[in-house]
Amino acid sequence: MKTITYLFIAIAFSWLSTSANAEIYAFDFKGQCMTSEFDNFIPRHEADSWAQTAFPEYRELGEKARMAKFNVQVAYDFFLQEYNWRSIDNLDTDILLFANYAGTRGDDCDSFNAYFWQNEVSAAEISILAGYPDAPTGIGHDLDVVGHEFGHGIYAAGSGGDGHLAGRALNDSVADMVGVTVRAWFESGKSFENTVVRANTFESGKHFMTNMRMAGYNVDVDFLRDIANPTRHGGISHTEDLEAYMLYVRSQNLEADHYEVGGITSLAYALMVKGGQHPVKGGDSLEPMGFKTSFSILMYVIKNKLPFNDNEDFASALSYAASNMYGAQSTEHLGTVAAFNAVGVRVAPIMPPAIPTEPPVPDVSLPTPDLDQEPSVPAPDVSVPTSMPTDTSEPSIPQSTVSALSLNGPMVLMMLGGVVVLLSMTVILLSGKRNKEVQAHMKDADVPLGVGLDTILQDNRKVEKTPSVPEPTPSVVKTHKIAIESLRLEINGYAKTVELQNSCVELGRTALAEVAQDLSERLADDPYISRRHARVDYYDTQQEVKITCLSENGLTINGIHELGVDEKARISIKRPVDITLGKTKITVSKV
Amino acid sequence: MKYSVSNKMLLVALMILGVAMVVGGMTWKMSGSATVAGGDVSMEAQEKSGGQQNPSSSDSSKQSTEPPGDLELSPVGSLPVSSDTSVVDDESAAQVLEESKSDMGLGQDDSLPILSHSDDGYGHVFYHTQQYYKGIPVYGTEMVLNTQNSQASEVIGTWLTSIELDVVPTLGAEEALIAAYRSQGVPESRQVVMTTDPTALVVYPTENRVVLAWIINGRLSDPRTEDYRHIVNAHEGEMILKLDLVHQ
Repeated sequence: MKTITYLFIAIAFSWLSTSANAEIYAFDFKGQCMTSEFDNFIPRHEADSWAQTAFPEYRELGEKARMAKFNVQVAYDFFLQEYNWRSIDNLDTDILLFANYAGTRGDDCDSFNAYFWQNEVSAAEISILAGYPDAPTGIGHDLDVVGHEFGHGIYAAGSGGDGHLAGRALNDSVADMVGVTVRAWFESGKSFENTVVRANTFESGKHFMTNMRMAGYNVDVDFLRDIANPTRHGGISHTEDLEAYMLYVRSQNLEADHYEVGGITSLAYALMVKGGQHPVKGGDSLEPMGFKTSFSILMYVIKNKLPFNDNEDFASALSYAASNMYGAQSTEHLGTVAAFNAVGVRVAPIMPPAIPTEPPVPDVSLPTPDLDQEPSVPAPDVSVPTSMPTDTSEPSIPQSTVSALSLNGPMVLMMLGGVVVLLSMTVILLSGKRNKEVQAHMKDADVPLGVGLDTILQDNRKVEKTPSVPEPTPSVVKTHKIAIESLRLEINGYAKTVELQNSCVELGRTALAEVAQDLSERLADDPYISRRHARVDYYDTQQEVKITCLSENGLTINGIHELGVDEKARISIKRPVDITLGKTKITVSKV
Repeated sequence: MKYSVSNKMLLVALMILGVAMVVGGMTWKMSGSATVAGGDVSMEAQEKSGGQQNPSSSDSSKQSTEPPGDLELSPVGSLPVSSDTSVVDDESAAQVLEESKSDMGLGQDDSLPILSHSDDGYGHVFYHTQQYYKGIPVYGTEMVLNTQNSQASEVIGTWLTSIELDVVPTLGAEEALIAAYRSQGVPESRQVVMTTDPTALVVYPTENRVVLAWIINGRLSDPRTEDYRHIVNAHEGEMILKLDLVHQ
């Protein structure tokens, strides 16, 4: 009896497990140009039941559609087997696969594309287009391309942003990570333990490019993307660094491309997996963490919906995940941080956010800033990972971070107004007090009444000098000049402490060579950097630096504030300061 | 005496100017404002100066899908949370978040419902939430409440404080979408087709203000365009953002 009961339970469990699995409904449109978009006729809330009987004439799959379905199934199996993640959203959502057709999303019938549909229908939609009709294999043969589209669904299940350039870039970046990982896993026998990096592991879209070449497109590489070296596929050569890329985009009056931007974080992932150096910049050689560890860190972020809106958020979220999973300062944690640092993405600590009770303070101010109002948040340190879980035993008081977003129009107007009122009142009060003092002195000094304010002040100065009190000897020591000072400079991941001469250091192709030849070599490849490009004066007591632009090419501070030639700015050095010369970022920090 | 009077007058004039600026700023702020909890300037603000297409050109159907009204959210931040409440389920997590609202700079009009939760397998349970303002979701504000051993430790995410916004839309969704296209110069001869679902009302943070916005899927006819997801100002019928519906 007991055996029968167990058997019954096992069958029931098995049935439940089976019924919980999502279905993949595939349709082969035989290379047709589809004039209607699927979105218009799929019943939004009954897509899954609709799919059971829809398009009977297109349910028989040819080779191209069959392979596309097979690869969707591989991606599905990967997430289920390795992460117990059910379908694209972990909710067993059915998948509709529209394969082997030409879409009319643009002016022409486009056969060379693949989509993940961002619709709120009750089934996920993936389109794998036909490619070139006479090609022996289709786009669906590319497991990494199919995995990429599947990956868009994975991204959507997390909490990453998508409504802006950075978010869309990250969306494609994560999709690329999924694509190459699923293929590597499959090629290694569907075992994460044994998944290895091969020579072409990070190259995706080989069949895709073969189709394009056969169709007569001028294709100079045989892969769509290489996330281990985004510059190889003929894209803009600045993709290794977001700031450099954006500088290039602005200089060329282009629109930023989210695939190019996404290449930055994809490269960081490739470095996590395989280790090694940045393919363009060089720098430190990283230790490989392998696919399983690297992808598990990513999945932690997705599964737990850690929010991120830009590259730094994303890096911080992965660093946070690695810290939670493997421990703070663990090899995996440090490796994650190092990989993002290598591609120019600083891993900021997940810091306390701004509370609107304190007025925001701009990062760069020409007048000396009020140091008391500097936010006391921990400074991000590019060399030591700081994005760690908060220790609950010591809940700290929320700190205010510098929020330039708080400096919106109304706030700026109100702040300026407040400053003007305060200044005016201060001057009036001081002058009133001064007048009283002057009048007191006038009584003693017998100054005639009725003279103007300026005259009184001049006379007052005379009056003040009248007593025979010895004048204090003016100090000739400039408080910010001390004998030996140094700053830490980091260029493309290479950092060095530089001794200052007269509290300053000049940056530029020849200027820096006089101080540190090895650092200077990091600037050699950047034609936009002048021989003497910038000067950094260090004010130790104020904990500030003054940055002077010496070049017609200008510079940018912290990616925001642009200085033209001969313009100066003072900024707190309590946290590292990024100075971008040409397309090279130099991070200046205290030693 | 002459200088004395002019100096005083100057100071008084400055004071009046300052007061006027404060009042002006407050009035501006009242028209739809918020403070974003978080950190630094995003790159998007810089991108806009770098070659985005002009939204006032004659036909928006050929325009970039990244118009100037890009989403503005600050970097993700973390706020330590201290509560005597043990977090054992969604309800207690919601209670802790409710208690934390004032520390987060949120007010009575803001709510943080628990949408789901996850156990990371390493001793943390994350409760997922999003900011709602007067019952309307605030676009892009996702947060997690991190708990360890049933004790809440921090809220991680981005949220907006001091939102002041009329959340009753002046325009219906379709009306707003049509107005948005017409204001961009799309002629009457081209139909604006709304593809019903999903249509949602959201609070949307842009560069220097928050707006009440419809999220509407739709397209243009003659010639027919692709379907886009539009984010349109629900009061003014202004196109804020046009997003591609597919990821390629």
